[in-house]
Amino acid sequence: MATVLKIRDLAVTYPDGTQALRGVDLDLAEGECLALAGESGSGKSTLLRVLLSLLPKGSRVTGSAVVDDDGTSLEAVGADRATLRRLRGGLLGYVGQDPHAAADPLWSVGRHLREAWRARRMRPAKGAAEERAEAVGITQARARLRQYPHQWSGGMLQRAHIAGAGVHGPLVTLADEPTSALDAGLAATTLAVLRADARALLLVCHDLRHVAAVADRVAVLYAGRVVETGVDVPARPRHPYTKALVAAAPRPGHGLPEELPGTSPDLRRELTGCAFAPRCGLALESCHREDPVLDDGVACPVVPR
Amino acid sequence: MPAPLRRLASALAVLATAGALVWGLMLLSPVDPARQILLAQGDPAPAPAEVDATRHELGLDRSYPEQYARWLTAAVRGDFGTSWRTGDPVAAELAGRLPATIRLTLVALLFATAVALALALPGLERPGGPADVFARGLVFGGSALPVFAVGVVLLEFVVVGAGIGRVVADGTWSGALLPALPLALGIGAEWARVLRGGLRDALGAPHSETARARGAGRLRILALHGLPHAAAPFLTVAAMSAGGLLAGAAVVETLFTWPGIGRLLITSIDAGDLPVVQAIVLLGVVAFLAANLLAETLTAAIDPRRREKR
Ligand code: SF4
Repeated sequence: MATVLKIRDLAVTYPDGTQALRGVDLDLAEGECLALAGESGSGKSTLLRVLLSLLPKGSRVTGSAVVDDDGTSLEAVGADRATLRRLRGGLLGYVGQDPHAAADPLWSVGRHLREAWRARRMRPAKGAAEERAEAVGITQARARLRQYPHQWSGGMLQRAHIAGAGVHGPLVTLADEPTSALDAGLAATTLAVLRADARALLLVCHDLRHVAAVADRVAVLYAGRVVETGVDVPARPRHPYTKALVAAAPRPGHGLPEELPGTSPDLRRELTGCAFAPRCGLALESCHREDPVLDDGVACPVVPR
Repeated sequence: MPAPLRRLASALAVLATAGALVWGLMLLSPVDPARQILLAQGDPAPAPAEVDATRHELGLDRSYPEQYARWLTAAVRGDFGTSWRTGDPVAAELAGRLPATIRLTLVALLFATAVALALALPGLERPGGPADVFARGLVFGGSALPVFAVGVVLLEFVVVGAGIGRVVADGTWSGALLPALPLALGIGAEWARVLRGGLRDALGAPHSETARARGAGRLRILALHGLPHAAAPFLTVAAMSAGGLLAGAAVVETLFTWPGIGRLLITSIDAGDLPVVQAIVLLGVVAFLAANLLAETLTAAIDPRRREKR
């Protein structure tokens, strides 16, 4: 399968000096769902925001993130207006975190959906919005789209956002914890709808359990770096951090979850060595000095290959 | 009760209370209204019989509740009795002055809106940036300026010094430009503060982020998401400042000898012309309530969540 998104050595420093991403390499293939996991502050949302150029003014971005559409390559890092116009809502779809917060309460749901065309200076064909809504499982779309967000349930409203994100058949759909505001049952169906509607999906998710069902591959971020990637990460974590993350998630029949020891590092300081070292039970003396490199999907020298 | 009716009812209740208080002023006045009117109408020494006849005509020989009821029904019809100063009907006095004040107020509101937009918009792109800090400084300075001081400075330097405008204003649209300035500056600065806050909240909200991610341009988001959201707090404050505008008008109109209601109020207070004062105060209350009612209605029209609660 063709690679549609190629991220190389991506680094982001926020205006306050926080290094949210510190050299990330990722590939996303057509038809694939790649989940980005990690605690808040690991840089996973930042990654989506770089692609859409939604970082706060004054952020420094280096490296590259190329969206590859059938031979045309668009560089998202430092994109000019024309490129941005092609990316935002065009090649890149976006689904936010909290469906109600992501909807303007003064707008009807239908107006939101039609805005996906209008924002790009197009006119939705008659019935096109309703058709999109029905494609993601919103029944009686005609009547329901006339309602306002506060009259909709979170799950249904998130479907409407998914419909809006997919209006122009984006090459890559970026979803930023799309189910964190929904309860567990709804989360699974909503993820399934999202997965079915997207051509390639980059899914930011803090809960590894949700990820397992939909993601083809998982990349775990810690302190702005990919520490582990693979197809089986949630079930068979290898990196000490991922193991701790999995152990920290409550699972029925596994007793009380083990809390992650320590706190995330201060990303405003220059970090040397493995960022997880202060919290890691297996840390070697060299871990504090040498940057572990991603090798065979894990960035940790003590993991057996 | 549906919300619009409830709002109307509460406005009417406020008006009735204000009416009772305003009417009560008459009881406190040591002046005999009947004698005062005869004096004003050119009778230098009214005979007691004449005064009694007028008192009867005015209904002043009736009980207080009756008097109040008569006064109120007349006031509702726009009849506030006779001026103690000129002997003319109060309504006619007001009607002659009202257009000038309306002109001044409208021009001031227009200016204030322009000031508010000019101060609120430039800093939005980069909150805390130079444009934002500068505008906020102006907002702070603007809201601290007393109407009177700005008026005196304008009069002294622009009108007398530079010879622009007229010292004796004539109440026309073009004449309103200068006196409207001191009225507009303080209000505009206050509005700018509210507008800026409302816009920042709306533009920083996740729904604006979604709009950006969908490809909407900056102006589109400002116009379609930002301004409608900022409108609700803005309208509320704008309506509240209608009261301040009235007070400011009294100062400015006196300063610029503007032939409006505000100056009439000052003149009437000086002359102890109670009926005119009563009428103007009630007019002010009505204007204030109407502005608030309008603001609430508009806010409800913009926001579907409020519409629903009706
Ligand atoms: S590199 Fe060292 S400190 Fe980092 S996770 Fe592996 S063992 Fe722990």
